[in-house]
Amino acid sequence: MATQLRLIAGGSPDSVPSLPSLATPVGGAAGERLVALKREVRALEMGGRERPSVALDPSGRLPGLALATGVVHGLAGERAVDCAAALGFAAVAAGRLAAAKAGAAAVVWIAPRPDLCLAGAVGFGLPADRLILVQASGTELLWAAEEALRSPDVAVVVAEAATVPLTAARRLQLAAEAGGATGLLVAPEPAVGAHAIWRITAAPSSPAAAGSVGATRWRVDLVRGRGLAPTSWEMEWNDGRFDRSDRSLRRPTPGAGRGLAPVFDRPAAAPQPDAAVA
Amino acid sequence: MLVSTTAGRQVITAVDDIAASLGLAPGQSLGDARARVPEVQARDADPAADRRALDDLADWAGRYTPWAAAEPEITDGGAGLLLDLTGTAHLFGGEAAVIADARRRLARLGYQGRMAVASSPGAAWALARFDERAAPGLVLASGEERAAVLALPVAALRIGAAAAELQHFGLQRVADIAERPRAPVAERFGALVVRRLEQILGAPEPIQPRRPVPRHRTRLTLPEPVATAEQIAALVDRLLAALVTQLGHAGVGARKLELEVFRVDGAVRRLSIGTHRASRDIAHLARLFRRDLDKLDPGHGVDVVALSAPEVEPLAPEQLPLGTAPMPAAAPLPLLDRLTQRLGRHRVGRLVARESHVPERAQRLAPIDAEATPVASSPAHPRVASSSAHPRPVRLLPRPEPIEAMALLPDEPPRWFRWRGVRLAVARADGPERIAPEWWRGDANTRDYYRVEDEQGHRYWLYRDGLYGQTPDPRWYLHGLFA
Repeated sequence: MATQLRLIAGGSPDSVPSLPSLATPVGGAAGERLVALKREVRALEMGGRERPSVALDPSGRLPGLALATGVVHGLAGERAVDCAAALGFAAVAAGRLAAAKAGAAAVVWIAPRPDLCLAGAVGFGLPADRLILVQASGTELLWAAEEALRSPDVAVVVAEAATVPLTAARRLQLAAEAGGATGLLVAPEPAVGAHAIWRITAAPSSPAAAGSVGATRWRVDLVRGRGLAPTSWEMEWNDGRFDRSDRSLRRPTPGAGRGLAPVFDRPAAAPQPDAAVA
Repeated sequence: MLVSTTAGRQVITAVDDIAASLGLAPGQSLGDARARVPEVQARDADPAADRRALDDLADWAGRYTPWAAAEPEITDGGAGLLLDLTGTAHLFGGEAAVIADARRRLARLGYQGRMAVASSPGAAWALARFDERAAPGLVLASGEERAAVLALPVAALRIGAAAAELQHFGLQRVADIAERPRAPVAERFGALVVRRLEQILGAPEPIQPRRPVPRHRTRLTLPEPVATAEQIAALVDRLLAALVTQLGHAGVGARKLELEVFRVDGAVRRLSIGTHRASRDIAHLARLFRRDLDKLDPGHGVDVVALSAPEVEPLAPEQLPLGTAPMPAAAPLPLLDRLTQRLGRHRVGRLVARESHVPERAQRLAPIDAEATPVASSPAHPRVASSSAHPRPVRLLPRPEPIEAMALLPDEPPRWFRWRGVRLAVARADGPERIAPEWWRGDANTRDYYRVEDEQGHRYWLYRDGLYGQTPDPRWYLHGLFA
């Protein structure tokens, strides 16, 4: 926080009449103002270069589900199986981010074992023709990720890391800012030092599937992110696009995400035509 | 001063500058020398060591040209090196520059030398030994050489004892013989004299290089010596790029490559690599070198590096090594190079689909070939699809893991299974998807694949290896994880 306060003080003092107490949850108008302020701080931190965000669901059914580019995101899953959900999410994100980047920029996927199944990942929108697979682990994995993030012809770097030390995460973040590629660190534990931490958890199939395995369902939590409020989404992947699998957006448990309160407090009555699928 | 024992007599074979200034000379006996200069220090000559030193110097001279040879015999005229500078002198800024550079470097190594550049080995040999201008180094302008050679004594002809015979007949200078008809000279003094005369006047004479000279060779002279393996690795990359271009023009690929590093201390170190098939793949070859570069002792520094291809085989330009994937459009080439160099060619690549129904064979990691033409975009890419009829997991375990599973009926999915020590209840299941064995690959059993979901929503890909009734005791495996 000290960094942010200093930057605000060095910015435009007249637009910051008073700082709300950040230790306690803030809601309503004060919360919105806080979000605006944090966005401003982030713009200052990035040296004025605001990185555009890419929405994972272009049709807007999942408001706020967007990944900032040119930064490193941590995608967490608790066990091997949940990492599989994180892999699926990474494949979706990689497809969207690669499509958003100009030119046929590459997707570099770095994993200790060559166990990414192309047929499965392509189903989640991973562009197979742009995919470069790298087999590396440990420090070599981190090195390869950093090299790839610095490369101008790369849109997305997905790295399946066992653990990412804080200094390594910082290095990756700097590399992403320098190169412009977006990093997705898939790890059992969230990567401390990443721009944003997401947790992806598998969710049971829709009851409508009646005993058979239905469409893929995830619960995605934005645990924390610079200038973003913790949010949760429940979604279902249907033939190349997301649908909301839950009508109401969940609020995270109080106290999570450094005490920041959710700000995506949308009215539940908003029309959701596709929600009827669930 | 060095002495050797010949026929029971100790004879001086070499003297240093101080001894020479006191009037001592090779050929005198040690007894005479002791009588004249009592404090003279004598060491035994070691012709074998001289030979080795001369051979090492010939290696050292490889920095200037691959056509470098040590003279087969160490004669009274001193040991000599013969270098063919044809086509290489310009790399150093001309013949005079080669002479100056060699003189400077030899002095640093503790050698004095007399040097001459001439149009034939015979003339160079003679001028270096008998022309007084050779002490600093002699490069004659065109047209001056013949006069300079004719003025030399007949001993410059490399004819050994025949020189004394010529002198006995009053033939003191090369010019004295050169003006006479050849036939009587050959009859009287032997054919060797005439042949040497022709050679000193410019007749061609092959230099037998100390090492076979490869057709494909490239070299780099460094402004500053380098000593680290990384720096040498970077130089290897540059040399490889140049050499591979040469090989490409010749339509060949390297089977064997030799790296020579010329150290500032005069030593030469060599490193060879071999390939399993003719290759012009720079990244691949660089990686082969990189593996062994730390074994190459750069000493206090290396100032010339050379790379040659002693063994090559035809490699057509369009012929690609098997098992490589074409480059994707707009591939990040520098990145691929760095990744391949550090991690190896077979750990960086593209996933390509294969013609197989067996899941673990349906794809493979294909190395990216830099020489392949880029593919345009998705339409050309092998068809990969995850249809709803044949869903595929995102994580396919390289080796299916055995699980303990319990199914109520033979053709039903399990009700529960135990994987990695955890018992999981199956809440939902789809299947089976029956995959026939590829018997020609040695597969034994038909597999029935089921997609199952546990109570938390995790999805697994299980299969039963074999059918009930056909296989004695079908086992269950977990093969993949769905997202």
